[in-house]
Amino acid sequence: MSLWRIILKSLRQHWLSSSLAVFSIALGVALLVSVVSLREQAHNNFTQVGLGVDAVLGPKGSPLQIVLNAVYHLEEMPGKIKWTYYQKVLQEPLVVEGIPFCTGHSYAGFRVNAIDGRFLTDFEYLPGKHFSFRPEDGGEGKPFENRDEAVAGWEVARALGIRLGSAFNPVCGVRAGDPVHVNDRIRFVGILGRTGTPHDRAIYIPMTAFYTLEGHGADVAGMAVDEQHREISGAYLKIRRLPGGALHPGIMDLKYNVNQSPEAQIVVPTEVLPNLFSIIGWVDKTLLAIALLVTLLSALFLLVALLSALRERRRDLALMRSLGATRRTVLGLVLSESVVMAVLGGVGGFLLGHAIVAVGAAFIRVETGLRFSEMYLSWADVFLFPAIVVLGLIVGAIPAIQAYRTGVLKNLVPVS
Amino acid sequence: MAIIELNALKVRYAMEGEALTVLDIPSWHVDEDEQVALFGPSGCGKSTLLHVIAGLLAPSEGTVRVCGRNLTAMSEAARDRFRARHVGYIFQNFNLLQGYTAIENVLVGMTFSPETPDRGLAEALLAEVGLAHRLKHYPSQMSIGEQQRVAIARALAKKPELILADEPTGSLDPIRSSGIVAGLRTACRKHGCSLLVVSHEKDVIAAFEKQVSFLNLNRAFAVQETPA
Repeated sequence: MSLWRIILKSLRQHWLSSSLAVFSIALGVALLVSVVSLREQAHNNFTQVGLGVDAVLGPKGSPLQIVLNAVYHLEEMPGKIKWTYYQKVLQEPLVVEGIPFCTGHSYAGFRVNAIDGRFLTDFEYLPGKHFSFRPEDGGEGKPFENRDEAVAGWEVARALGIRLGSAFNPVCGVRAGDPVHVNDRIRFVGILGRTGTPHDRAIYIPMTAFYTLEGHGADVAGMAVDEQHREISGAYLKIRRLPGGALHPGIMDLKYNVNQSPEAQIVVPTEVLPNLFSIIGWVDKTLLAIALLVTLLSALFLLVALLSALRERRRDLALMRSLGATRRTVLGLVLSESVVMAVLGGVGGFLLGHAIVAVGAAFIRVETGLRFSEMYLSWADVFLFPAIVVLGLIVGAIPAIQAYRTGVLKNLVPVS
Repeated sequence: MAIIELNALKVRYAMEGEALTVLDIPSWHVDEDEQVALFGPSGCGKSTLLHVIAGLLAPSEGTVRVCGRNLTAMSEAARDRFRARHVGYIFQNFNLLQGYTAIENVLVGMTFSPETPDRGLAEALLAEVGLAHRLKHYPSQMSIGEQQRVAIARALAKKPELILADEPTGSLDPIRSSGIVAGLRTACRKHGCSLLVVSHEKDVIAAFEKQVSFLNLNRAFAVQETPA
C-alpha cells in the first residue's frame, strides 16, 4: 500500500469533514477567481476597447459620461454640439478624420445611433479592424444607403432575431415609456459581423434619418439641410499618430483649446476610463477583501477539519509508527493530506469561479454589452495553484507538527 | 548468533522529580531462531523491555543489540527504519487500523519497510493464518482472535528477523489463546524468525521451550531464565 493510498484512505475515513473543508476552500477560491477575473476583464474592456476611438468630440459635461455614451452605448449625452464647430475642429491639422453621430434613440433596449455612413466602412473599431458584413464573420447584407435603412450590431441581431428586411420603429429616448416614432418604419439592410466590442449592441441609422424622423418636428428636420443650425451629439475623432503608433503629443494643445471654448470638449477615452476604476475602486477592493476573507476562513475550516481528524487518528498514526513509519513520514502524511484537500478545493474553486464568470458574463453582456470570457486567465489563476499548495502546507503545519510529536507508547500500548 | 543482546541495560523514568529505575538487566541474550516466553507480575517492566528491543524506547544506560545492530547508537528515525525492516510487533489491543480491511492492514505492514508491498504475499499470509475468506473484512467485522491473526500476518509481512508479541492473547479465552500462540510459533518457524512473547498466561508460557521470568531485585527488575 503506497503512502498516497494511505492519504486517500484517511480522506475517505473523514469524508464529511474533508468534503466540507474542500467545499469551503472551493467557495473561497471561486469567489477570488471570479472577482479577479471580472475585475481584470472589466479593466481590459474599458481600456482596450476605447482604443478604437482616439478621441471623442462631445458637448460640455462629464467626460466619463461622454465616453460611456459614445463608445459603450451607455448613459446619455449631456448635450449637443453645433455642426459648424465640428467642421471647425475637423480643420485642425492633427485631426485626420471625424465621424459624427447623434444618440438618444433606442429599440427594444438597444441604442439606435444615427451615424455617418463612413462608420460602417472606414472606422477601425480596433486598430486595423473594420466592420464586416461577411457571413464568415457573422454578418450579412450591406451598409445603409437611404434614410429608411438600418444596420444592426451582431449582438442586437442575435438577441432580437433580426433578419434582413425586418423593420422597426425607433423609440425617441432610451428609457422605458419614452414615445415611439410610430410613423417611422426603418428596415434592416445589414447585420454587422461580430466584433466583440460594445458596437455589437447598437443599431445604426443614417444621420439624415435622425433629423427627418416624423416626430422630431420641423426645426430638427431642417437640420438635415441647414448646416448652420445642425446639431450632433458628438463625433469620433481620428488623431494623427507618430511613427510607432503613439498619439501625436499635439493633442494636448488641441484638447486644451477646444475645452477652453464654450462649445464642446475633446475627451480621450484612455485618459478618462481609468477614472471609472478610481470611482468604483472601493467596490473592487471590498469584493477582493471579501474573497480573501472567505479564503482565509476556509483555510481555518481546513485547519479545524485536520485537527479534528488528527484527534481520531492519533492511534492510527501511533500504530504506523510502531510498524516503522518515522516521525517525518507521519508529518508528511498529514501535510500531504492538507495539500491534497487544498488542491482539490483549488481545482473545484477554479472550475466554480470560471462558471461564475460564465454566468456573470452572460448578465453583463445583456446589461452592458461588454464581453467577458469564462476562459480568461487572470493573475489569480496563474498564482492559484502555487498559492494553494503553500496554503495547504501552512494550514497543515500545525496538525502535522502535532502528528510528528505523537508518541507511540502514549497512544498505543498499556504498560505492564 | 544472538538475535537480541542486552548489556548493562537500565531504563529509568522521572517520577515526581526522582529517577525511578524500572528495568535493570546486567546481561541477557536470545539466540537466532529461538522462541522465548517472558512472564512476570503486572508493571514489572515486560512491555518496557519489548519497547526497548523494538527501538520504540531508548534505554537510559547500557547497550541493546538486535539482529546484530546496536540500537543504542541509532537515532530515533534510524530505529524506526530498523523496526520497519527487521522487527514485527504484535500488541495486545488496538492492533489494527480500524478503517482498513484485513488485507489493507497487512499491506500497511509492508509500506514502511524497504520491501515493495506485495498483495500476493499479503493474501498468502492471511490464508496461512486461516483468514483467506476475510480479506476485505474490517476489524469491526472480525472477532478479537481473528484480529490477532491479522496482526500476526501483518507482523510476518515485512519478512522480519524477530517478532515481538506483547500479551498477544490477553483478550482471548484460554482455548483460543493456545491456538493463536501455536499458530504464531508455527508461522515464525516457517518464516525463520525469532519470537519473544510477553504473557501472563501459564498455558501460553508452558508451551515455550525457553521461559524467562522477571524478578524484583532492590526496586529494580532483572531477568532470570527458567529451563523448560
